[in-house]
Amino acid sequence: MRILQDIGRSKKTLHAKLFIYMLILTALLLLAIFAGLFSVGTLDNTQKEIHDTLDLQMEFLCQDIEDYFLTLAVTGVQLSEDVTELIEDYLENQHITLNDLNNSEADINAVQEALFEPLKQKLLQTDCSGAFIMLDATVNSKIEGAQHSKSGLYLQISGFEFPDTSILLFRGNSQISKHHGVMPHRKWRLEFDAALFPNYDEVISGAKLPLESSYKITDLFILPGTSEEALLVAVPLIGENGMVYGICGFEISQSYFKIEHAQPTKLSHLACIMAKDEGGKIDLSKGLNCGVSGGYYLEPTGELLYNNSESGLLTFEGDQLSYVGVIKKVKLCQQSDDFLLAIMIPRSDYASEVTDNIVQIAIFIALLLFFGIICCLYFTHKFLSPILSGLKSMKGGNFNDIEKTNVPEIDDLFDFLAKKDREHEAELRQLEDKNRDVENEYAKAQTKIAQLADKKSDQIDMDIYKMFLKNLHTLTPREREIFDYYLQGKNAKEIHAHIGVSENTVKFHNKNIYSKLGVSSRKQLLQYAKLMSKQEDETLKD
Amino acid sequence: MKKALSLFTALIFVLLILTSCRAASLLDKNNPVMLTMWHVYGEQADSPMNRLIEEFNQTVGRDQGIIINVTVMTNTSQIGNQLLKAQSDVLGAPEMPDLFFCHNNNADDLGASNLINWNDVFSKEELDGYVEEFIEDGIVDDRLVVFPVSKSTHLLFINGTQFDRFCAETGVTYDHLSTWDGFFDVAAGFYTWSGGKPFCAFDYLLRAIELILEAEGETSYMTEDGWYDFDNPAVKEVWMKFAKALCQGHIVVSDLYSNTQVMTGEVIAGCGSSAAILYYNDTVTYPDNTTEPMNLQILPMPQIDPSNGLVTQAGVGLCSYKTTEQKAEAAAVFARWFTQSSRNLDFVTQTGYMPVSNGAFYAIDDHSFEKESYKRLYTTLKEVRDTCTMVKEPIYSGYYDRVQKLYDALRASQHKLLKRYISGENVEALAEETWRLFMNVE
Repeated sequence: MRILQDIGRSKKTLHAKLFIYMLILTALLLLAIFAGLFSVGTLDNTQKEIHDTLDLQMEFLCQDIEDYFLTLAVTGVQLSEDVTELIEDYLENQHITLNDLNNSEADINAVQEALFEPLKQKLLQTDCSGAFIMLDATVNSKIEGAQHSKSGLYLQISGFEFPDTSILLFRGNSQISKHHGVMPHRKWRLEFDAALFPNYDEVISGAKLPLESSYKITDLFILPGTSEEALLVAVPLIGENGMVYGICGFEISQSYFKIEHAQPTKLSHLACIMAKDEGGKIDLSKGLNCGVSGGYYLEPTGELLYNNSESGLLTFEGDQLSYVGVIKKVKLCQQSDDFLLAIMIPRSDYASEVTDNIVQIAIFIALLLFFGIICCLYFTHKFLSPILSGLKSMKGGNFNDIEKTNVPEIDDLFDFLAKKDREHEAELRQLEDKNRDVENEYAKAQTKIAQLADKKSDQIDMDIYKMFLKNLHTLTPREREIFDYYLQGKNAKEIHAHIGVSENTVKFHNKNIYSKLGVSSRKQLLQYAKLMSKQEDETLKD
Repeated sequence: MKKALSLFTALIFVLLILTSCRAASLLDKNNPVMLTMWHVYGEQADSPMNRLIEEFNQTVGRDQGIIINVTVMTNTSQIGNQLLKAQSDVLGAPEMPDLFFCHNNNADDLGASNLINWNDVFSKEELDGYVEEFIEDGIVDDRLVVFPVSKSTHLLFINGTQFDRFCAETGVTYDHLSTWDGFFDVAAGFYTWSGGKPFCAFDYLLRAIELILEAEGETSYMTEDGWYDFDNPAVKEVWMKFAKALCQGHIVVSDLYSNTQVMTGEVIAGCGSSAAILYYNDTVTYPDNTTEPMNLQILPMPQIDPSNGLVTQAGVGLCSYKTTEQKAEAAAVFARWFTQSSRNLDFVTQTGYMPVSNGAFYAIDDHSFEKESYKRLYTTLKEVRDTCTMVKEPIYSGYYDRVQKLYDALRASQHKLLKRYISGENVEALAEETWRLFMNVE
């Protein structure tokens, strides 16, 4: 308010004052708009928006992963039941036990032959990168390390990026495999090495019925001979008598996970991680990761330390890159630890988002301000133009010929001023007429006075005048002094004040003067004195 | 004053030039361009290529705003068809990659005009830094569209442990494998010695036949439509040598890659690409799960005349699919970085290829290898380079499809032919069957 008062008191032009008032109004309106936007969270919502987007994305990923592993578990249980039945059929038909498969190349090959097509079909039906059956038996128990060598089949999908995928034999008899049209993997081996099989002992020792409660999602491991990382959904093979025949299940490789679980999202560099929770730390060598459909992501490596940040977002600090994102714990399997799902974007992207938002707001404010100033200038000009034009016209002084401004108040004022103007003119004209009359009268009076003066001179009695001239020198000095004062136009009162005698004394001297000079009044005295002066002047001129 | 003014003007001029040069780049560090890539290095195994790409992304890529994203790892025999499917938008096929490695004929099938002409990207001085023959090999329709990054040739890989036993008992030596006649004798001898095991699996049987024909001076063994001239008696003569060995079980057409058959002990030798070294295990595993060291021996391919040998110049090259100017610039940055001498040398020595830059090509002689098998490989490659002439592979549209059809047909019939031979059928008649099969491939 004080500012407004100051502006009101200041000696700024009408234009400047109105512009400042309007600018203040615009600023207040903008402030109100931003306060409103801020209060409903429209302005400061980048972080929240990213958080919400990541949260929503997490819901999708979580659902995707839970459904995926549930389906794998169900299919794995079916595979286990089918495989167990086939093994038991074979053992029963051959009247042998599982133990009898050891060192029997023929029996082991026969079992693999029986299992090959069911496993291949199950692999083709299931969304995974590989399927395996590992039996607790070996074709040769006499060789070094035979206690870890396990016979079985391990098939892998090759080229899952394409619709016409092919299958490779990673473990198992290559001749049987070729009969079924499946070529050996380039890093093929005949049997499994249980020592390299992740969580082998846990799966075997934890094997119990029902299968649903004893399957396990293994730790991540590197497929022997390759650089490919994978984890397995491992289901024990449990016979009717409770005997554990081995393990079957499915492989989910990093390459497969990356392609199959790429997330559809508008966040172009989103990275998703599925790993074991290590309390504030994610070891990416123990987890799978994927990115976005049709885009790329900066694949996190090494270890990521995470902690809380603003707006519910977590910061993930790695050796080379840092991210922001959200996490969620999921229980994918009763026999396995909780998994941690993390969804994150590079910190640089996040910072860029926030900066972009600030820049957008700044541009928005600048545009509004610019627009406001332009409007202030325009409307100030628009509003003041007729007024200023009117004032200018007023300075011209002619109110009758001023154009209409279309502002009623100003036009009324002009009408009023024009009317007043006309009234003043009329008065002026009257005064001028009067003045002319007075001047005429004055001129006439002057003329008349002159005529009268001439007339009076003509009426002077020459005898009296001669006596006046003759006796003038008989006057006493005091009388002469008073006589001169009369000639100077002073009256008796002024004379007595001037010479310091009483008024009666003056009257006494008057009586003597009148008597000596032969006049009867001061008027006659002055008339003869004037005539005398006039004659003296004319004499001097001559 | 005048001098100072001149200096200032010159400085402004230089700054303007630098500014304009910088502005000319379409790459933006803060808004990187992504190039998808399909490659053929290390499928099913460890991939040195992926590690190099990771290094590129973390260094030059990060600095210049380029990200290479490997979306498919495949192999040289499949990538051509896979690319064609992608180009034709076959249902379910991935999108066409920006960068890929393929043979000249694949590039021809895709249309050379659809690919970046590396001549537009590299200066003549830069191209002079590469082995001239390798550069020429990448020209299709007068356009350098297949940029050489590594070159291979075909070699003979041998399970040394078993071959040494065979040699010790039969008096055969590795020298016998220097000629084709010696090779077929050794193959027959091994078949007998081993009790019916084939000696060698061939990945590229027809290429061996072509090189023999060329060594014999045949220049017109192929027709204009890109297939073999069956009216040329020399073609049949050479074919029949291999066909008879095949029918008698001395050799086989590999199941795709011979190294798997060497690893399983089905054969003790494999004729394949030098790059197969990446896939050989250190041991051979037999059906009873016993294993023995591979002791991998690597020899040049047999020749008609070892003193005047011919070897194939194989290997895929880098192609860039034409999309945007920005991607073309990014592809050029990657190609330069990837083929820089020391990096090229590191890459090829991990993957069994020959380097393509002149600097790396000769520096390889002084390179030290950790693994004995790699040391042997590069000793052999040096011998090949020093003693043999490299011959470019045929470039005909549809040629390799027909080759694969022939191999598939031979794979399907070779065991039956052997059984029929064992049961007493005439080897000449059986070989004639394979000739007809060859002629009927369409």
